[in-house]
Amino acid sequence: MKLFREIYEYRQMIFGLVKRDLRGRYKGSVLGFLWTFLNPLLQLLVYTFLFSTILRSDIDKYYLHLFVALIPWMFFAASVQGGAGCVLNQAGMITKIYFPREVLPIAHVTSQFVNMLYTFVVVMAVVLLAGVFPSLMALLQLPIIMFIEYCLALGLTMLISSVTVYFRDLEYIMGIVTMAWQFLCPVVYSIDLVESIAKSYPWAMKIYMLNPMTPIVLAFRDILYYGKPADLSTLWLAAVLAAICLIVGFAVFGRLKCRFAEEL
Amino acid sequence: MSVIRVTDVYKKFRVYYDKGATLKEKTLFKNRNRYEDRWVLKGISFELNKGEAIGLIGENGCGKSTMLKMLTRIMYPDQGTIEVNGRVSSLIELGAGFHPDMSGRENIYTNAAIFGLTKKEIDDRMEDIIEFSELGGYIDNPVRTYSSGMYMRLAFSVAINVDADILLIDEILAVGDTNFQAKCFGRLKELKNNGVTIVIVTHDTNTVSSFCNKAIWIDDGKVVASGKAKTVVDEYLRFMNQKLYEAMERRQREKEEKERQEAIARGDKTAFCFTVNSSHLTTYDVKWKMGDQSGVFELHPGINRVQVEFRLQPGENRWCFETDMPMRVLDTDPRKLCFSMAGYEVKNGVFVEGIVDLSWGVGTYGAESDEGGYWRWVQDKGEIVFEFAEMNEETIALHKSRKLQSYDRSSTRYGLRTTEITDARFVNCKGESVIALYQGECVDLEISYHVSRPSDQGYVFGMGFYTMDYECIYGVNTRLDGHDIASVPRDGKVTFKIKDLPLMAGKYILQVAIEDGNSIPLDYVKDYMHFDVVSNEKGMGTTFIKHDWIIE
Repeated sequence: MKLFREIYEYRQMIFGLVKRDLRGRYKGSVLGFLWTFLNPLLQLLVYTFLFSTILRSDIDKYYLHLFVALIPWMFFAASVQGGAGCVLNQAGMITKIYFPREVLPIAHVTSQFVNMLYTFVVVMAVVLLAGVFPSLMALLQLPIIMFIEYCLALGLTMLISSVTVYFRDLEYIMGIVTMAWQFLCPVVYSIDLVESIAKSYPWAMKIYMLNPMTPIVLAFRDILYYGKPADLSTLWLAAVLAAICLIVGFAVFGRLKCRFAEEL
Repeated sequence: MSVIRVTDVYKKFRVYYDKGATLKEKTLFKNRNRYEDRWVLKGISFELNKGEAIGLIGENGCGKSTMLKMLTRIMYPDQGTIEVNGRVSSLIELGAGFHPDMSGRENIYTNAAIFGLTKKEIDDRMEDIIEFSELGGYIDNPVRTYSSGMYMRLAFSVAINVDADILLIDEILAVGDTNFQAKCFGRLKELKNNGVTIVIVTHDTNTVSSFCNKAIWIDDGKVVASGKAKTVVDEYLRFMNQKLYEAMERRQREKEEKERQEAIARGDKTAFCFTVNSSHLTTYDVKWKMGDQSGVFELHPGINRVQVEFRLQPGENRWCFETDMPMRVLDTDPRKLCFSMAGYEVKNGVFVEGIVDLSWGVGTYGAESDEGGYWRWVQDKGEIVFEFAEMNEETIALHKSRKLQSYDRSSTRYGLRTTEITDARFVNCKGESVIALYQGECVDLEISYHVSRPSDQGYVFGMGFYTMDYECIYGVNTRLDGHDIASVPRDGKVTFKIKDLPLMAGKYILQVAIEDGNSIPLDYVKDYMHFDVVSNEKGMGTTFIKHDWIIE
């Protein structure tokens, strides 16, 4: 509890780091902050072009189908993959001054999260333009799902960033793991595809659904693509897994942080 | 109420022999991950009250910075506990977390946030911070455009304005120009008076004794002394001086031993050979050097070739003398070795006089006896006598004319050399020969001499201390002090006794001299040797003046 109070006391540092990261990201470029919106928009253009002319998909409005899943996934991937080095890269600060070390992964994930929120301005615009009008109930679910994803990403980032200090290969291993993970989630394909394949193996489907990112991605798609409230039955599992991840993450981080200054 | 309580703290570091951090290295080269534990702190305890300033002092690597890092909670002790009550601001690394692309003002926010300040608290202090940093209009420019001095000033201003209860400072008082430093110190004093507890790690003992009320001297991970800053600092400085002194002594001994070993190693055919190939000079000075010993053979025209070999046998302390001038052993008594030289090649002249200057003896040929012309060479108690077989009238005439030869005052050593300084050394109170001296302690300067031809004008012995810039600090001789010396033994020693050496710490030159009663230099060595003085006194200059202060 003392730890959380201390983290709260250092909230300004978290804000500062997030702000520094967001503002520093496009600093020096001509368009600057505009890139935060421009980037997903251009991505969308590429996907739309790709899947409407070259790789034709039989899914209706495939670009939207992909886009509403891809943006939350990119937040998760960037958190976990980039998060591996978030303690390591701040060696200068760790070895020189005191602050609750948890601030670093929290700031990293929060910065990615805020970035996703900005992107959602574009997402929402695209969703409405595509003619999907999510119900009020569905829209109210959106923050909850985002929160679950945030917790999951934070827990994993805590775990990975602290272990990376002692085992630096993890940073590169995570690159491959997140790539593989993306294809284990129904991001580029539809869940119906998995269901049709796994029809004769119900246990395989169960294992597939154990991946906490699957219900999260599906929930985003339910709300933003189908415009209906998410399937809460699977989301519960994701929430529980996210909570476990967070607890384990904090516990491991708390144990490993004592010798950060010596290892860096 | 104690603000900081450190109880029996131990800290070890893992020192890897060859660290492999990657998976491949961790699995394939298991033995590369061998490490040893190095204990840097071995049971440190101390307590600090509100408003106290404490200085941690000690040699490099004694563990004081580690202690500070643990107070900051960057590291944690392996054993023992550290209790810190209050907000800590550390001036260990200034400007940590500065972003070069952001303006000074924005960086104040991030940097102050690192110290745990909220936005409101930062806003309240913003004006103070900007004013203290003296950055003025530059505050809204990106930090990357700052000079290093501006950068440090900004960082220091933030760290000092966070209203901490405890301020930890590591060797950072070299911030900005002298005015800004003075301002920082003023601010630190102000904070101290306001009840901020300050811990300083520094090598600048003046800062500790003037600024801190307490000091802790850590050596090898343990507290050696703690208490009043002034007392601990003095104790520490004494210890460091003793260490310096011992190191200098040891270096000197090692150097001597090394040279001896080298001489022994070269020994089986250590030779100095010289070929005289100039015939138009009236006198040759043939210099030879062996180890740190050197000397001059003075040859007169006509000798074409003389080759002499010295040998130092391993385990022996005896020099062998070999020459291609055939020698005859006259006496094999080890206390009195006599050689004779005969049949050396002489053309158009003779080998008249030679001087071999070794630290343990002086030999002159031809100076002792007008007729016989032998070369006497005294070594400690033993005696080596060289006898030259051939001697003729021409030789004697030349020898006599030599007496009138003038001397060159510009060289560092000059004089008639009829009496010579064979050794000059410092001997401390315990009777040990030393080259590093302690200010305030007694020391004897012993000048050993050898008379090869007695002077009928008497003798004057003198000494002088010079700075390395060759400015005289003090010089005196026996005549000035009212000693009339008409005659001296053949070999003897003059001692210049100093009760308490008034020289301050530094390197000095020793001058020693022997003159006759008419101020004709017999042996004048301007730069006999360099010696070091260590001192616990902190005053300036070269000489210590005994004093007391009375403040009314």
